[in-house]
Amino acid sequence: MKFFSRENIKFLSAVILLIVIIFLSSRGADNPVKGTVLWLTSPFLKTFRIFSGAVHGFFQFLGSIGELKGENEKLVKKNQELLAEIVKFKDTEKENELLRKELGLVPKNKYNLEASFVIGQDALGAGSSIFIDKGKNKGIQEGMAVIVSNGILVGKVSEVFPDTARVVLITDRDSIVNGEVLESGAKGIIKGTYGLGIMMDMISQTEVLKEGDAAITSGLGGEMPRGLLIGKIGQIGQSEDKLFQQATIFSLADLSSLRVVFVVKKF
Amino acid sequence: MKKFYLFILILILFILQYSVLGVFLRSARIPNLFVALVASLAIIFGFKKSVSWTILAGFLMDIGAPWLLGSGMLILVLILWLVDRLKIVTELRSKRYLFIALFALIVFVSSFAFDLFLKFELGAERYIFQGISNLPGPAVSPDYFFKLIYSAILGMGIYHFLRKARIRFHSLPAVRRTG
Repeated sequence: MKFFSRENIKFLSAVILLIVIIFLSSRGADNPVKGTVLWLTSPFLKTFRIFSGAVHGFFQFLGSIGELKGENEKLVKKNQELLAEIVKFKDTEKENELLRKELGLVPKNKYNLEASFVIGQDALGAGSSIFIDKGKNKGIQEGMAVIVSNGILVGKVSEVFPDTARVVLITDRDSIVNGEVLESGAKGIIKGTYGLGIMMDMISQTEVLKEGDAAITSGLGGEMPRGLLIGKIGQIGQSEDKLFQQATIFSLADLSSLRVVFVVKKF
Repeated sequence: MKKFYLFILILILFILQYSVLGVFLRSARIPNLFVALVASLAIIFGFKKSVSWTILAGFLMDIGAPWLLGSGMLILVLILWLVDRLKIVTELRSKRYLFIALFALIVFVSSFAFDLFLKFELGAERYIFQGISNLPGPAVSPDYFFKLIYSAILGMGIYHFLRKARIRFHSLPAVRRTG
């Protein structure tokens, strides 16, 4: 086989061309290209995603018919517990309003949210980013927090295109969020562990943590609002250098089946 | 095979890869359909006739991926070239089961090689440029094993489709191989 055969020359030319493309992309040149192609393909991605979601949901429903009775009983019990909790919260709300009045604080503003459909996911990396169908044209910016309907943080916007955006999930190894334990006030850094889970790191040794405590965003740095729920504290351990405490966090949102998310535009 | 159908197939694979499969499978188990396509193209059409289609597939792959445009394309072209070197596989087409097993093995290994090459490539890019995200690369986990297995299974489907379509349309002749 000749080294300079037509096939090898074609291969080498393709490699050189692609290396040039990578160098051009490193200057941010791929962003408009990605934006345009995503703009062209996003209606198809969205349609197929919604359709597949419906098909998947239907089959899940068929599979779960047998478990419905037991689940219904559990839900009735849970509902009663929640009703009792609502009464307690209403009482706390009244107390909170009174205190705010006394202290002269303005009522806490609601977030300015942008509802978005999940139209795709990163299927080739660690699987810890998703695409949403809203972008720069709807005021989405990099770094904005992304939550699900009940205020649970699922990630933050990492790349914005005109009509789509990429959201890095909190399980991504590049995701870092300033967090706090609601019960003890212990502060730390919440980061992803290779797309598999979440952990809270850099917690001072003097803090007392308990399994089941709630981890929330601390709002430090001003990038994210304070008080977004991240998950519940799981196993607690020591960092490798024994200087800090670490804890695994169980997210309360099912990150593998996100359909609709909300981008926090203002807080 | 009419070029239009190949173009549509690549678009369908893009939609499956980035939108549909994520609904049914755990993210870490989503197969790499582009690698399966490239392995099929290499075996059916050979390197010369497939390189432009591989670049198109790689382009779409890079569009949905967090890395720089061109990174995935480069690895796919490399895999196309490597699979094309395995000339013995095409000579085994008459021995159906042996061919199926070998083809599945090729897709399995190619998917692994893709992740490995990509990890090294992104590592090199990180060294030269700044702000390039890293990838964990191939992992020893059941999820990763399933990903490779699914790639091999779906690869056989893609191969079968391409081969049937080629026989039907006859517009792209099979590559003539010379020793």
